[in-house]
Amino acid sequence: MDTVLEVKQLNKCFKDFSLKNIDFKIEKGTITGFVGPNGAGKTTTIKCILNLLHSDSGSITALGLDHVKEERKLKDKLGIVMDFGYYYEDLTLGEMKRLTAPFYTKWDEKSYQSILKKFQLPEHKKIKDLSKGMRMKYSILLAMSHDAKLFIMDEPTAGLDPIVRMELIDILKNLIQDEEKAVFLSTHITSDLDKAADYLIFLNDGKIVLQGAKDEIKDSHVIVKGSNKLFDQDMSQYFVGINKTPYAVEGLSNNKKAVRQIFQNDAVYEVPTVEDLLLYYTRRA
Amino acid sequence: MKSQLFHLVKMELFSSKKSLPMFILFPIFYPAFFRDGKTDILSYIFCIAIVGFLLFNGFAETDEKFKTGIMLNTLPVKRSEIIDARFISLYIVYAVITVVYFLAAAALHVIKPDIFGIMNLSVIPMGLVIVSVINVIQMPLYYIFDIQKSRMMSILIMFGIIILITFMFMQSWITPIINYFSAMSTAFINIILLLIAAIIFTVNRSVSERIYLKKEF
Repeated sequence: MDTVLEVKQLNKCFKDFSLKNIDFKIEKGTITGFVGPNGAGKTTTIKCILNLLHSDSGSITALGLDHVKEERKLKDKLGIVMDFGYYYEDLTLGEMKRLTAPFYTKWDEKSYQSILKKFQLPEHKKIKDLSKGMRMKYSILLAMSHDAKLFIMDEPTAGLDPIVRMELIDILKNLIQDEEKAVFLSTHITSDLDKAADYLIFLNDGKIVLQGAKDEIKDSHVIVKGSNKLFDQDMSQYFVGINKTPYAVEGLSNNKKAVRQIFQNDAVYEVPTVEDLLLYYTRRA
Repeated sequence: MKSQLFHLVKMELFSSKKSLPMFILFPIFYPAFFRDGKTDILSYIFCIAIVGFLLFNGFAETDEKFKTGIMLNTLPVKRSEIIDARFISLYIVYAVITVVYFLAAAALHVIKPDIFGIMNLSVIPMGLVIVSVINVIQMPLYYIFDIQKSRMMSILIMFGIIILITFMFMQSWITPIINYFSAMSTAFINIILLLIAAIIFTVNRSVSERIYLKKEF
């Protein structure tokens, strides 16, 4: 598979927070979820990729282009959706589009009009009068109308109702159908990633704590549920995290074989959701 | 790509479509009420200074309000082009304002030739110096600090300059210098003024660009 985004040893320090040795690759034809709690460093990483923030060290290459030296060429091929659509809000959707379109070498008006219709966005309406969902749809519409090869989206589903979120997930799935495009999507709404993501990168406190193919990650982990009596201190080595209540214990293990041998039929085993993975990995850290 | 610069200028001006007519209308009424005699040089300079201050602040407020730094820097443009586009937009508006001012002054002259003098083109170099000074104070400060801080600092610096100039003109040593320049031809003085404006502009562009290249959003 072709790599469309490669981040190597990215470091960025602030007074009270830092990104530490961020290292990952995104492949063509995939949706990669960038997961982490609020303040984990997702937006900071995305801003570094987009050269909105300057990294202290490391390298970033997207679509074979250096993100600083070939910034303009690269951004021509990126579909960028930020957490809050940044536009001149006094303008109408149509006016903003007319100002934005000429910047792109491959602006596709036909595609724009077709998605505009599909999203049912009113072109004559001012951007400031759009709802959060409509605003996000407009951002996605602009990102999808210039033949972008890599979509970088920062929390595109935050604040959207489940129906709009579902629509968005379908749009993203359709986007990668031709195997030529890729989506890099940051979110803390993990249910979206359960449905859409091929790969997952978990970030916590500025560090990647887990990454890989979603199915492989899920397959290599297990949620173990049982009574209090079953668990003792020595077993913590087999778990990423354990959640104890007065009557029962639940834990996420990355050593399926070992825990099945220990608990055998005395415990209940479940495939973890992305949310389980996020909770246990970020709780431990 | 030069076209990106053109699109940026178009975007900058179009996004200010609400406030720009006010700036353009200002010099239509201004010469009728604020004038300093038949030549109206000071009147023009004050007009361009007021517009210069308000215009840049208008652009800066739009930046702050809509976080245009993020928006512009996610477009396929270079950061230097964003700065250049701002300069071009500012100077386009100054040019339009000057033309409107001259036309308004000419119209007033036709109506009341005994009160209103016709404007002389030789005031333009001085206007350019004023515009360049106002921009060189405001722009770098704005790109370092936020709008509130930079506006306060700009006002303080401008007042400082006015006080300094007033103080200089009260000194006896300034008289021979004024006499020296008064003896020179208008054309020569205008060339010097144009050179000063060009130097200030070049320094401002270079400094603003360097600051903006390092800016984080």
